Amino acid sequence: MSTPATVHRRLKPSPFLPDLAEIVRKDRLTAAETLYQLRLVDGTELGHVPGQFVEVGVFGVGEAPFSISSSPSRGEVFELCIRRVGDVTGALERLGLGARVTVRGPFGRGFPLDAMRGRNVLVIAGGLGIVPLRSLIINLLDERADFGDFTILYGCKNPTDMLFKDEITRWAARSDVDIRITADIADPSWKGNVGPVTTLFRRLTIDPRNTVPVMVGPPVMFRHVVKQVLACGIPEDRIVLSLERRMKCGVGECGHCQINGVYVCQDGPVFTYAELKRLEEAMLR
Amino acid sequence: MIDRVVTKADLLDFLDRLAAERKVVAPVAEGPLVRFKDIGRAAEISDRYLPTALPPSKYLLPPKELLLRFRTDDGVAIEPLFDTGEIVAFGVRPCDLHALALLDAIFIDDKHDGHYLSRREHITLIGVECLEPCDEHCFCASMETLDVPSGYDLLLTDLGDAYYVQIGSSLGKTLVESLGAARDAVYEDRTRLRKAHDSRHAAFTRRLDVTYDQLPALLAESSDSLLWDVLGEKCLSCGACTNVCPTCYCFDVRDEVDLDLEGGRRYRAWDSCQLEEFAMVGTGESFRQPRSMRVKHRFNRKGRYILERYGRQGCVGCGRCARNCLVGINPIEVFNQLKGQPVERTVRT
Repeated sequence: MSTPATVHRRLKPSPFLPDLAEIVRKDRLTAAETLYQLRLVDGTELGHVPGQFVEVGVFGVGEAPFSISSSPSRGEVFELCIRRVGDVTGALERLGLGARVTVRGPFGRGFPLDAMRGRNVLVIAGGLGIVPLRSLIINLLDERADFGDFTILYGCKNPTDMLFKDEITRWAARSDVDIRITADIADPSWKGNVGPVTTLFRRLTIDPRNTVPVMVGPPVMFRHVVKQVLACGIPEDRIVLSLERRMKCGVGECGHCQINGVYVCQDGPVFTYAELKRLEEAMLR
Repeated sequence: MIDRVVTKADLLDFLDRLAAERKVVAPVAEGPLVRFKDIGRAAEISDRYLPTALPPSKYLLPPKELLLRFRTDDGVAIEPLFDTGEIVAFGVRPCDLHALALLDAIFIDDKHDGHYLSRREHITLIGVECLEPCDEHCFCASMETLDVPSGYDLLLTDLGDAYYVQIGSSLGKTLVESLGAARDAVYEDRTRLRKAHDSRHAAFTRRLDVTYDQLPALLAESSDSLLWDVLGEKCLSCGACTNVCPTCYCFDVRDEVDLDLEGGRRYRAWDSCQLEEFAMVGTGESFRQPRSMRVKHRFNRKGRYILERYGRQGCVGCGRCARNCLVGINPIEVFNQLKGQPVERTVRT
């Protein structure tokens, strides 16, 4: 399965020279996650592919990599769903509307959207994995007629961790998408499935000849879900995964995101299982 | 371009003149070490056969390199910074010339990194060939980095009373023309050069039990070797090996702010894959937590990943990592142990 080549916005003398973006909207999604809507100050579109990421920086604090959570089919703003965990994310949260941040990218190889056209798509999201997958999901829904059956499996630790609740409710109301949700640990309000995302496979019929599984989640989820889809008879080179690593420079220089000989920031973050199988460092932990 | 010959006295005069007008850096002896430093006079230069404490790549990728300057007081102004200071580096050894050629392939040919390119365009490389191995840690002959086909402006070979000068670039040609006393090399000079090269063979023995291009396969099949666990238990994860390595170039990117909090700089600073935080993501997971994995990663980068990606040696056999390792981890021993002990027979020592 072929995946789109790396897209560079433009060649610059310094790979570290960023563009400026303005925060146009902030929505608190959970206690820790906020959805930021950004617009590039120069008026251009980001020009990304679902699955790519950007380096966002706050002057004086630094840069960090974030998956793009919005679909390129939705105009000149782009969205990042960011969990507050460190310096950059903490500084972002303190910024108000209209504040300016730096943006470099988009970087990396995104989801193989074109190779997925005409096929059934099975999206499997674990925890924060829904963040990059939302870009793909919205893009698919916007071009719904190009794809076959569309199924989304989403697992989160607690029902309160669930991201994009309102959107998911709207998606679930559509007849052309099948959404199944599970929580590892239920609370009294939770009426849905309980258990890891793999338990959602029990009542699922998958056509192995024509289904592209796309999964993003923690390493432990990959191990179990890959096993499930392989057992369905889906070939290794049609299983699509996106990996999280410390993508510091975004341009394949700094070494932090390396998995064996592969630079996740440039060669990934989206890979097929056939590609990752050979990399022993890919699935550790 | 016709090779030249210059007497040692004339070369020293030339370097004295050069150092008076330009920034010239060269190996200088300091106690037990040799260090690349600014020189004022040619007499300061050490011709000892010992790699400099830090490789000359520090002039192209400094420990801390400013990338951008920013001001936020009047709108936002971002200015990329490119170093254009002229440097003449004299006495660059073959191993280091190979390492610099690798960095060129990565930062210029592959990445078009303007910061590196600017420094590279403003450095003149005068290499000096090695006719004797430096010490028990050097294994350049095994890595095939003793001969230098290109990547220098001038390459000097000691002929006793004079240096044989090979010209590698138009910059080198201009430089050698300003070295008035040099004469064109003749047949006898080329014979002396060949003899000097031939005389190295006995001294520069192969120290590895494999050729450098066999290392990728050896490392790939040694992935489960217990040797990595043994090394992981020994290694202190201090990062000295990566700091002194001429082919290590990994870095972190950080910001620092001015006192007025309105401006500051974004810079890159040397980092090391041997430190646990190196592969740690925002949510706190470290993807190369066990030391054995980090040691294995370093040897794979040196012997395998870089060669596979860029077609050039990722280790040039200078031995700096071994000289600086506090617990005696030595690439010659590591590669030979992997070769000598197939995985299934590897025992914990």
